[in-house]
Amino acid sequence: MAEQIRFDGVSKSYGDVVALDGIDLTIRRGEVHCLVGPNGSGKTTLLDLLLGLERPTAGTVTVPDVPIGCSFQSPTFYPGLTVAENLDVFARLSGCPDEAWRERLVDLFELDRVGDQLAGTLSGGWAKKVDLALGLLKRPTYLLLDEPFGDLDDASKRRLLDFLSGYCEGDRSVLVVTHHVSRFEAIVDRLTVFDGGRIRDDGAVDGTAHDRYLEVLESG
Amino acid sequence: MSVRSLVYKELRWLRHNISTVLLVLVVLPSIVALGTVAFQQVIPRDTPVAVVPADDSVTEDEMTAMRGVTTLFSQPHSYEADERDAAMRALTREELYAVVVVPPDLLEEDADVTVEMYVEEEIVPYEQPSMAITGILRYQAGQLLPADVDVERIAVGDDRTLSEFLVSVGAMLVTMLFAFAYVPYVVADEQQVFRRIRVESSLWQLLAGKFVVLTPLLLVPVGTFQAVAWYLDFSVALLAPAAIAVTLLTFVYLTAISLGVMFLTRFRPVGRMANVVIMVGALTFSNLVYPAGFFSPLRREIAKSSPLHYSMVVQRGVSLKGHHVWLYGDYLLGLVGFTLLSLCFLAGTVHYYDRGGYRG
Repeated sequence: MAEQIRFDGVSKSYGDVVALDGIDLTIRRGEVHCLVGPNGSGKTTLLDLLLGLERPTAGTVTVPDVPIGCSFQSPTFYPGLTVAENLDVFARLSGCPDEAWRERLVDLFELDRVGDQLAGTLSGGWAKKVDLALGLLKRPTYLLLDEPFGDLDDASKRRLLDFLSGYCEGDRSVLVVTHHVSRFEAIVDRLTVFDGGRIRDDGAVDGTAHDRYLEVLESG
Repeated sequence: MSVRSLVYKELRWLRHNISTVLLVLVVLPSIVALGTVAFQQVIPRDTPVAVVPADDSVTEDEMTAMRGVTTLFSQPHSYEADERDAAMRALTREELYAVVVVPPDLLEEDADVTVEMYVEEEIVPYEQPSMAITGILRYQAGQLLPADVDVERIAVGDDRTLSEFLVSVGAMLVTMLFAFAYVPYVVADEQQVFRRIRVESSLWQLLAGKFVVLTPLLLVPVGTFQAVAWYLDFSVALLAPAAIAVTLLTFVYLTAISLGVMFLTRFRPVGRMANVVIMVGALTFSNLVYPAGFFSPLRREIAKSSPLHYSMVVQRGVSLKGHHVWLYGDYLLGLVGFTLLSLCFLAGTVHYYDRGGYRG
């Protein structure tokens, strides 16, 4: 069985504020896993722990030695470089000179329309597309997406959903962090509901993610 | 109503940026006001000066008498007769700004003696004060000592203009500006990409990339200074290998400090203001232009403990005076040590930033 991302008894505090409290969670291969919960429930903190941007106060985060890509909630690229230059820099950084894959990402997000534009001057939607492309550059085994729809227009959302549904064939995984689970209803295999830094519910879903989420919320 | 609302906004903003506001409105004025303590006089009364016996026949009483006379305009350092070369070496390294050679028979009535005072021509800001000092020394020695004393001012080194002297200082000022203003601005501008860099690479590698590119880039303004100097027919060698090495070393330690401050303050505005304060402080108290000892003994001591002062001395020595860099071997070693210390400081602050994450 392929190695998986695991959280074992993970807690994270910032001073007196507890962001995560005793999290046990496994992110399996070959699934679209959705982390959902209200604002401030600890979803993004979990992502930061997974990426090594934060250290747990207690517990262990196990991350397999496989390519991991991420699109952040706020776009993270060099504002003083063009879109094409950003793609070039991060392709070199992540060691993936796969031109064909890069071209596919450029087509997927229509980045040829803004390739020569300075990334710092992009609108919110375009900035999100660039960030998504950067996260996908190394064709990661685990793709982590924090609020991937951001300011995307409806057509772009549709294209991204289609792409993600095919991306997990094989042993690739997508971890989506959002508080709008209904938008991912069609592709989600597993749902974890966060609230107050704890897991309220975790299990497989099949086209019932939104209903499941509402049930959990209503159960108090 | 809209003005009232915006005034409200400004007050809220002040509250959220209280550390910057306090730094600019309280700490900075306090430092400037306290800094005035270091300015006590406009004549160089505290410059270090060597008092050297001309030969072994000079008595301790004669040395004491001459030290007493030189105390009026300097901080005298006594040397033995066989240490004259050491005193002259200290003169060229700006440890001292004059060497007073005491002749025998200074305390003999009716003896006719000449005191020699050696100064360096290249230290242009000390040229006219040293002429005045020669006159004072001649007058005081005539008044206080039994012998008939003449004082001869002997200039060593090449004659330089104030403009030539200032060109080498200007190159150092540009280095400071580049390190304290430009580099922190460039790095802060890219702060939004730090999270992705930390995932794909590391902040260490990001900083290494900055140093690799920006350090040689500093040669452009230094080269510009040199080109203008050539155009003006100044005899200054800012692009001499040793001068370049010292300038780049200075840039590295100043940049390590300025970036360390930025990481320590998590790129908040207070970090930028702190860098301005450090730059102004270093500029004011490192005696880049005037010899250490102008204005007050306190400023002399501060300058003598400032690495920037030694950077300036070495750069000036090799670019303006044409000295061999190994004359300043111990200074260079100290500067390399301080650079390593500064890089450790930067490493510590990056580690602190990394541990605290982006949340601050």
